[in-house]
Amino acid sequence: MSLVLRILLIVAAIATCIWICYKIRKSKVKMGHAIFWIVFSIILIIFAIFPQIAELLASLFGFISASNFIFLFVICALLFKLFTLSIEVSQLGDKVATLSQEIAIRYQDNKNRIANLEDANLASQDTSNITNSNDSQHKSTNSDFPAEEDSNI
Amino acid sequence: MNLLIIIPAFNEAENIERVVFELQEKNIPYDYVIVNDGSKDDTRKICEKNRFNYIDLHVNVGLGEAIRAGMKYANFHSYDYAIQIDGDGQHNPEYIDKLVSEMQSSGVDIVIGSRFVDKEKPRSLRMFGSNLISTSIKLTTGKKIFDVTSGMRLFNKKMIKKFAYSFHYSPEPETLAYLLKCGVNMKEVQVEMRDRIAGVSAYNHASISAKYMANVLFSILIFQAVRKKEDLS
Repeated sequence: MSLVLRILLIVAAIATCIWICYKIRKSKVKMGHAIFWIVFSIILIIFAIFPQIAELLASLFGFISASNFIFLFVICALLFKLFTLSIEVSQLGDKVATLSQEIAIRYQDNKNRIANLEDANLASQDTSNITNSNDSQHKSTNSDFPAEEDSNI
Repeated sequence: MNLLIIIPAFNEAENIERVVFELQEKNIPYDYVIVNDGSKDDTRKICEKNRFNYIDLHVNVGLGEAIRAGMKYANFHSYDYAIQIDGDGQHNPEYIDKLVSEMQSSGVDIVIGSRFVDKEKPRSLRMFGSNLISTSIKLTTGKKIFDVTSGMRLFNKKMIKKFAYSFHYSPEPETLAYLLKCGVNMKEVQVEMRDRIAGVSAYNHASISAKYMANVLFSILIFQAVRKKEDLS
């Protein structure tokens, strides 16, 4: 493995770590999501510092060079992340759909209930108005308190 | 006394009645709210039938976010204290007063209902995990919390606001560690916990437990160092 590749790996890994930590500090990413990038960076640094490991694994799996193995490893790790993210996005989409559907259903239900209550309220007001007008057309609105009226007179 | 009991419930149809009836039978003089975390079973219907006070999350958001929903409720209705207890009846509500009097006498911001203040931890894989978290908190903050994963925690008004709206505040051990770093005082009070009578725990799968442990340990040991410290003392 060439020295340039090793230095590049270390620089990229450290940059990734710093960036993700900065995002945690700025409250942009959940800590659970940052774990992958930290572990990924640490593995890259290990490969860069101890090229024997990559060379051993490369010869074990029949790669021509260690750098080929590193490339494949990075591709696999990123594909894995892409795959899990794809699942997560699907689930989030499902949740958003469920959320909006449930909100819509319950909002409509609440609206109907309120409308029914208002109708019932209006109906009872109407009937009480009718009985009032029938019983006492000239009485004041204080007719609910006859005792007070008596004392006033 | 203006205290809200937050009861997160995910698929607790078999337990939720028992938990709330216990509150009523023992005349616990506090308000409660059940947070139905998008349960797949009849939890919502049972709450509706009994006219329990509950809020209904339409999708499953996980235990942490369910408790945060309860915290937002407590903040909205301006409660001075909020206590989280489990929806499976593990916690005896008679201990709530013990936690409250501890908070009032010592003036701390968080009181944890702990199983292991006076008692030894039993030896099991779960307790090994608990010890691991406990040790890493001791390592990074210098303070010891015995029962880090206890689901019975009492918060005051300052903490309600933080837990309800701040970004990294999940009601998990890593937040306790962070808050210790920020100068928040907390105390543990010995309580007894019962075994879960019905239903299944959220942490009964090895992969979920492993993920939980990885999350908590990474957060405490690594991410803690880069988080912005607020002065909350």
